Amino acid sequence: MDKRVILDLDACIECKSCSAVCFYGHGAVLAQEFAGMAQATLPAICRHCDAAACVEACPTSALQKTDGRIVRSSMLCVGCKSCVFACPFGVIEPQLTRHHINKCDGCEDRVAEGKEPRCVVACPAGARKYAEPEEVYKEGLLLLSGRTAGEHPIKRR
Amino acid sequence: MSSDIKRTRCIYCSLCCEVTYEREDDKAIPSQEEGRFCARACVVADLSDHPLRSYVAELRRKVKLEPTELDEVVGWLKKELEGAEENAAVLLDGNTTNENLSAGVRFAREVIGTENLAIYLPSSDEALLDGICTTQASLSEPEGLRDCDVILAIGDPFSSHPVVSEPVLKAKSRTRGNELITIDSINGRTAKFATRPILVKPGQEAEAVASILKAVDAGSIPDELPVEVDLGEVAERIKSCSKLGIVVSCPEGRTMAVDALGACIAKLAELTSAVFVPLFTYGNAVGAYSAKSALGVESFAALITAEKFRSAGKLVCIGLNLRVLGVLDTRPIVWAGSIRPPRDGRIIASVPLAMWFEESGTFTKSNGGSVELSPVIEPPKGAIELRELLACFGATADQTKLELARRTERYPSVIGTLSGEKKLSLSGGEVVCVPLYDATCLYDASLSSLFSWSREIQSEPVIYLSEEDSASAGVPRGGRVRLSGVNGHVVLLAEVSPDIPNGVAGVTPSFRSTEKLFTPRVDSETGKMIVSPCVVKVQKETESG
Repeated sequence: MDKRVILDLDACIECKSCSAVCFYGHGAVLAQEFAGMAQATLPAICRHCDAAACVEACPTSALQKTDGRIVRSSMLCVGCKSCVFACPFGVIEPQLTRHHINKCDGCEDRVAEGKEPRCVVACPAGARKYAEPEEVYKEGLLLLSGRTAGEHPIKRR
Repeated sequence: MSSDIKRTRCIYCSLCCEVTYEREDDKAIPSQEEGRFCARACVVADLSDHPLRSYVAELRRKVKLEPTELDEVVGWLKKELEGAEENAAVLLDGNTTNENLSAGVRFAREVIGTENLAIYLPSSDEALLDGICTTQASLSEPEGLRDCDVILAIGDPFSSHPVVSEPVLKAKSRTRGNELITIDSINGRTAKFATRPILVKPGQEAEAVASILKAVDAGSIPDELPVEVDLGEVAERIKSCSKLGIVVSCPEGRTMAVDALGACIAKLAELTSAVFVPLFTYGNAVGAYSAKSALGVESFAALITAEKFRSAGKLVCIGLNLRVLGVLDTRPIVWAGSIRPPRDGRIIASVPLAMWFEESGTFTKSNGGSVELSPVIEPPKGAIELRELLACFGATADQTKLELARRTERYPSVIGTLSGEKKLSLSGGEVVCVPLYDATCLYDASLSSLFSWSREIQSEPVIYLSEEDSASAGVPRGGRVRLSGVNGHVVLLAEVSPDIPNGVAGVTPSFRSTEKLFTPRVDSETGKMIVSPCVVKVQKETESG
């Protein structure tokens, strides 16, 4: 299975550093939002799903799954926002500018050089891993929906 | 590491993390090649060409400040300062290199010939260090916390200094039974990870620590000092642990009696040989505080209440932030800073300075060691490094060794201030407002609210209320409230949070409107500058206002 960004809920302190490094590392484009859950505010990023609803929904094939990541072609995107509505996790951001949406690209520029995504490297709490899910299981962490993990997710204490 | 990637140190808190930036179109961009760093270190990408950046020297000729050549301002200043030793004062911002501090002091004393000189630190940093220096407690680096089995955290360090979270959480999870104990006035990000989260009223943190200290060593707290908080169980746990870690974070406005808090927590650290990690707002808080002691310089608040300062006709402000100008009076100001001066009729001249990532120098860490700042990019045309500016006047840095000067004889008097501290009392409809500093904001609202990322994630200020308080005020989530207090009134967007206890409200600082709630004031008796939680009345804002 491909590597993906996995958030360790036992360590996420909601500091939003991941959002800041993503923003400045992508030319001032916000591709990482935060979602309020019962007892925590969690970063909400693209999960690069295996069976991606956004890819299915896109009428111009602007969204494609390539090398384990869903990438967007800005030249094909017509700004219809079908992907925004289709995404079950709400991680695609509609923008006021036409033909423009913000979503996580898995830092393909860095991954191509063998480096980890920006949000993983920058996290001050060490709450992000760039790993295959099997590695997470081996650490004894419970994996939720392939992207969040923890000894007991949500219950930080 | 490629040749375009440079290492330096982040100055936005006392952890002074090593950060790597790369140069892109004459801007510094976080490169994430090594290390971890928080949101504050990222916003440097906005600072290189920030709309408020100062590039041009200015002189007020008739009505407005007008652009001119730097040489003209330097020449004019030299003439103005001749013979001005009784008539001028120099206020120097402490979050600069030790070399700039030294050159600034020499500029005041040897070039102008004045002792009207102060180094500015945030009041909380200064007060915390005032308290710590009444003990012999050693200060440590956060890495030392990893081996602790009990960590006591005062305030919300995970919010204000996120990088400290990793060693703390590693320590907590290392062995079953390890504990994180927090003392704070809200259920903050640190408290959510605590095995024993202790909620106190805003301002009671010092009393809570005094209670623990008294149980650990009865002689450290005088019998006559009333301590109403009972934390005997916590004290027992601390006494039984193998290695104690202590982290304290109290940014301005978060609590009161900060000097007493510093003294109590440092004495506890000293007695238990704890790994003691005090966290300050300024990167060079320890260096600036040490410079004050070593060079015999006044504190900012003490200077501006002193008679000799009042008689000085002109002020030279090097790097002071804008909210501090609010406590100064009406005399003409020569402004030297990286950010353009505000529209303020007092400012008669302005000199643009390089920013920290455009110059080199040293900072002093909490444990007394040094860190090096290295330039990532050149300063923009027009901006000058501070040491170069001062060299134009013949002032250069000397090699005075900077150390924290301990004054243990002051311990009883600092502890004694706990009894005189007025407790905050509330009437109907009132809450105590505390600022929720986190790594998304800088100390100065004029910068924080204008960073492009900050605008995206938090475009307007918010007040967080408890469910009960918002229901009492009749304010729904997402409604607007009017807060009225001694500093005036402000209307804010309201959110309900289960993390805020009744009688308390948390506000996002670093906006002009919320900064008004925490305006610094100078106590005319003690000369201390004080920023404290404020009592405000909460009312639903009606459409007519």
